[in-house]
Amino acid sequence: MFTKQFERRVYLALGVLVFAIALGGSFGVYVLWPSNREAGYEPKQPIPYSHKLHAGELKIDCLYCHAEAEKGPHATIPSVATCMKCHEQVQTKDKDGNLTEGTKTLLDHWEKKEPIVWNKVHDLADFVYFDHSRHMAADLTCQECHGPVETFEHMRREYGMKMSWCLDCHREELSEDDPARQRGLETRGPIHCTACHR
Amino acid sequence: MSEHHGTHHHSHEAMRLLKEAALPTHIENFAVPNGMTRRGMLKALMGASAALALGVPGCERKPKRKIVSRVVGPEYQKPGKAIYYSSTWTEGTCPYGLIIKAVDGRPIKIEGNPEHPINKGASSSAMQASILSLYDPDRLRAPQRGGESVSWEAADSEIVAAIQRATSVVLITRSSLGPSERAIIDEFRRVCPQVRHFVHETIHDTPRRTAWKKIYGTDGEVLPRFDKARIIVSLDADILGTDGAVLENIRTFSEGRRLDDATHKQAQISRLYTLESTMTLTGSNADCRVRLRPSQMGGVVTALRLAAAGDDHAMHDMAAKHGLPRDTLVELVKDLHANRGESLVVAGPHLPASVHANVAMLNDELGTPGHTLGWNPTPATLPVTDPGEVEAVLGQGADVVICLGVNPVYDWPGGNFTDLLGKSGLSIGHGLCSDETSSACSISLPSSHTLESWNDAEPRTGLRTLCQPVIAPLFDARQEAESLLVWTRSLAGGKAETGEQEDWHGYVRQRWQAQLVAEGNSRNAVLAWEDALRTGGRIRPNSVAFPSLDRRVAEAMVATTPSGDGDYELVILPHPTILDGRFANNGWLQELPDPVTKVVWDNVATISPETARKLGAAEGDVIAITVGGNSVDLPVLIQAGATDGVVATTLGHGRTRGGTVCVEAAGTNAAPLLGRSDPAVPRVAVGIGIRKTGDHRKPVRTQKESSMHGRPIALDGTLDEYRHDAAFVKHRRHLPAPADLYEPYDYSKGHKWAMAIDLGACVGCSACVTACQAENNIPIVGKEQCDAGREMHWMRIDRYQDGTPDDLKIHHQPMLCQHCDNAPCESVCPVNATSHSPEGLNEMTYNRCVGTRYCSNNCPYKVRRFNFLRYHGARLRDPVQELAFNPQVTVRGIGVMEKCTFCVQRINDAKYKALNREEILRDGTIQTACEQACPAQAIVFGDANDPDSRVARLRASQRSYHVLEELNVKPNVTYLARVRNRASGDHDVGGHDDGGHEA
Repeated sequence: MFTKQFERRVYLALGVLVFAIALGGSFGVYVLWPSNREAGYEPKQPIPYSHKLHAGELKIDCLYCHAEAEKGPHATIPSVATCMKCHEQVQTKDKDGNLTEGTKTLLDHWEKKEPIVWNKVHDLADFVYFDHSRHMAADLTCQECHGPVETFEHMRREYGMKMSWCLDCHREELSEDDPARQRGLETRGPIHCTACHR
Repeated sequence: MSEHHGTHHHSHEAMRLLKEAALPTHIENFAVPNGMTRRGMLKALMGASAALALGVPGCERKPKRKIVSRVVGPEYQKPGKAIYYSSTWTEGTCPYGLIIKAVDGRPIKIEGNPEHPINKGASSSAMQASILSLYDPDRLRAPQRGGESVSWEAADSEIVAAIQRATSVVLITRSSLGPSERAIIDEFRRVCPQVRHFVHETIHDTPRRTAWKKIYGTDGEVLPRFDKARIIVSLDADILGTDGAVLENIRTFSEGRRLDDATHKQAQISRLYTLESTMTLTGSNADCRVRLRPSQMGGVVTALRLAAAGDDHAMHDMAAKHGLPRDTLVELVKDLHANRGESLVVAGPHLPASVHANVAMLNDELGTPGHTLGWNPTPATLPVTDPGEVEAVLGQGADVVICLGVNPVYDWPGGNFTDLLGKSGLSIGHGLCSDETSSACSISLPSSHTLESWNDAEPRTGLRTLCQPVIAPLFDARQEAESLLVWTRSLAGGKAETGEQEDWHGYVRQRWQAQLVAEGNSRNAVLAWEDALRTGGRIRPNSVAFPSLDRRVAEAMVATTPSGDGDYELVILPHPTILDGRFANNGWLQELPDPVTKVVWDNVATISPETARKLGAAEGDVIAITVGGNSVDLPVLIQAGATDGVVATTLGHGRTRGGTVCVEAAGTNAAPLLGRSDPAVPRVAVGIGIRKTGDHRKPVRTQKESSMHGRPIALDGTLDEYRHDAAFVKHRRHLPAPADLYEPYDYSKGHKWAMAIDLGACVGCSACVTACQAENNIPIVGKEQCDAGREMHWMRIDRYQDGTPDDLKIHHQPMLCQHCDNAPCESVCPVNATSHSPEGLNEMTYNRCVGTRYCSNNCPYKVRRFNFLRYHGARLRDPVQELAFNPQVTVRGIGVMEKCTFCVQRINDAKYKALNREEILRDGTIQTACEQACPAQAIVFGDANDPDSRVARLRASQRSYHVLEELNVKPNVTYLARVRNRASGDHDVGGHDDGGHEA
């Protein structure tokens, strides 16, 4: 009924199709694999620093370490010297009396005057110009964008930080008597492009 | 170690993390708006297709980057926050005050120091472009000996040993040297008396300085005060382009031409006469212009003097003899008569000493010294050495030749410097790049950039400013003065002559501290020094009495006036952007159009249309210019307004070494023609030979059309018209039919950003263009792409010309995105990449742009720029060049449209700062880059909703109008028509000439 040549072509086409599906499927699996998604990104850090302990139990203010959040565009991560302000004295040991792995790494860096290379958890695209100080001055809490950090044993990216997620807040309508309306603002934050992209 | 926000991807690390990362706790859903808008529709479609393809909506890419902590964070330096340093720009002929912006430890933008009395916050293109030179990948990275890298110690010991053995040492420096540099040269010469110091420069004003020294009996320079003069006469002096303290000249010139609508009936502005040989930027701003050959300058000044003394025939005779426009010259005589003590005459630095002596006497007779002319006994530059003297010394063979920051192999006047170097023993070249000189020398040493150097300057008596490093040298470079200090110390056996200073920083500091304490500025030397660093130095010049003129000496000098002979004369001028070639490796300056001819990446022989006809040469035909046996081939450029029989060309092009940019730039070295006719007047030649070679080299212009074709684009009027009716522009405009298809947006709340540009103040210097380029990460595209009309400047200066060759009117008009309320670009964008902000900005969102170019097509002002190629590709790949980018502005890639944003990064920054502090945003807090650079203060940016803002007042000015108003696009850039103070009897209505004269 079908010529041999035609059959060969059908098999070839089927083969290509199967290969394409396999390729596309594995790409899909790779892209959608939970750890490859932005929300929930929780990389292993060089020091198993616990926000739950420091910010939650010890109630150290966020701004003690992320000192620039109120003053500049970047919240900044603490210098090794900032860690050492406490850890000069506080040096946790395990039951055998040895320094814990994290403390040892910290002291090592301090001794060698080497910076700590952390894995960036919150990372906006390069064409987004975000300013921490503006959001702090507008009375946002850190948790609104970073999640309940004080309960995190390991830092993770709580929200995906997509543009639509930013706009969810920025688009909230202001009440009629809000003073910001005098500045021509009708929503909680500006929603025009150059507010963030330039 | 700095904190990196956004470094490189670490793929190994990423793979490791991929395996180890914990499972997510949240999976984001994306929100779908209630109403089905176009956006919503697109998003839904995207989601649906993703779902179809992959089974789950949305796909996200996880960024995996590092963030590096500091070990100990400095108190003042925070990531992303700018720090400002005051300094001095020492690369040009006049040292200006600087404020340098550094972010994350790297300087990214230069502004003028507002406290500096000379430039008062303004900056020039060359100052702006200094940032690019700092990060120039072609910079010499280590000392070289015969092509091999050597250590500084090895180079120093060889040089010191050679100097110790030598009987004749020649030190060649540039003419602009600071007090500390002069002191170390003196010390060097005291330690080794066999050193002879020569000064080499091709764009010097030595003929003028020599004349002044003779007739005033003291060394110094005349300072014109254009704001105090009613009548300004410029004889071939490009005061607004390259001659003298240009930034101060432009400012004072435009101050003398400010208009106030309230008193328009009595309006008084200065009148500029230019008598010049080629069309310069100054000539393009003249109210009355006379085309003159260089050889006729002396005669005209004599005629002016005679006429001013009451001889009515002198000027008539002069005009008749040379065929000059008599009416204009007679008008000039009348004006000088009527404005005694309120006029001033300046002559170009390339004219012979006799002309300057004559001009000095004319000024004296007009009673200008002390009123419109000031005196500065301490010029920033040294007079240059006669090249003949240097040749005589080097011809006998010097043991050591040291070239500090000069490039004589490239620009030795008329001669061959390589042969002279060959006769000497050890030759040392010290420069930023490996140029013609340093590659011909036995040892070449890398110089540090101005922004990496300690230095000082004294441009005016009592005005001493400091230059401080803003970054450590990027390469193994050392500044020239430090090298001299090291050699001096070694030669003196390690003993410091004055005090204990070990390095150049200490040397400068110690001199300053001693001086500050001696002057009683402070008892505490350390505090006084810190204060000087913060403010920029001692920034109050002393006032100096004008010296009296020795009439007998001056008369004797005038008597020697040489007269011109021959059909053609040659004038060699500094290039308006790259000067004598020192900035030739700077792409921003190569691609900055010449403000008059609009030529980029090239130098040309500029001739008048009449001369071109005589020669039978068309634009681009190469002509060979021969002077005294030396010949140079240059392409012809026909420029209306050039004097018939005069060929003008510029220095600085035709480099053979010194970096990729300057070597790739076309052009011809004009230096072989220097001084071949008369060594005392190196940049002028009479009786030159011209011959068509038959070759062709097309000069590339960024503006090909010079006529407005009668359309009201750059408007102007005469002073009489303005006095009669301040709103004279309204008769020239085509007003739109008041028809809006849609309800206009209500901008009355909050801010409404707007700009006003005063065409009466703008002289077309183009500093704004480079300032914009530096601020907004604008790429250069190269000569070929410029020829295709693909230059990327967000701001350009449109130059139009109309009138006859003898009465040519030139218009300069800065053109940038007009941020129209009814922006035609916005409605045609299929992806909403360009939109309007509630504050009146026309926004361009690069990450949305798909590059259809519809917007550019629909823009009536043609101010949108498209990235046809990866113009930034090389810069992004190079770790050094990459540092020059402004981190506040996105670097655009291929296929993306871009345009002026009104410096939205500056707006946002100032707005957020004010909001954070709950302060009112004051008028003037936000300055766009162009506004900040402008020496004429022609550009004003602000909030049009604030009735007290400068921009709101200018928008309401009687002279205000919009370009292409008839289109009803409602632009937010308001232009103020120019008022020309043309000589009376001139019935030109201006701005309406149909057709116009074409270059």
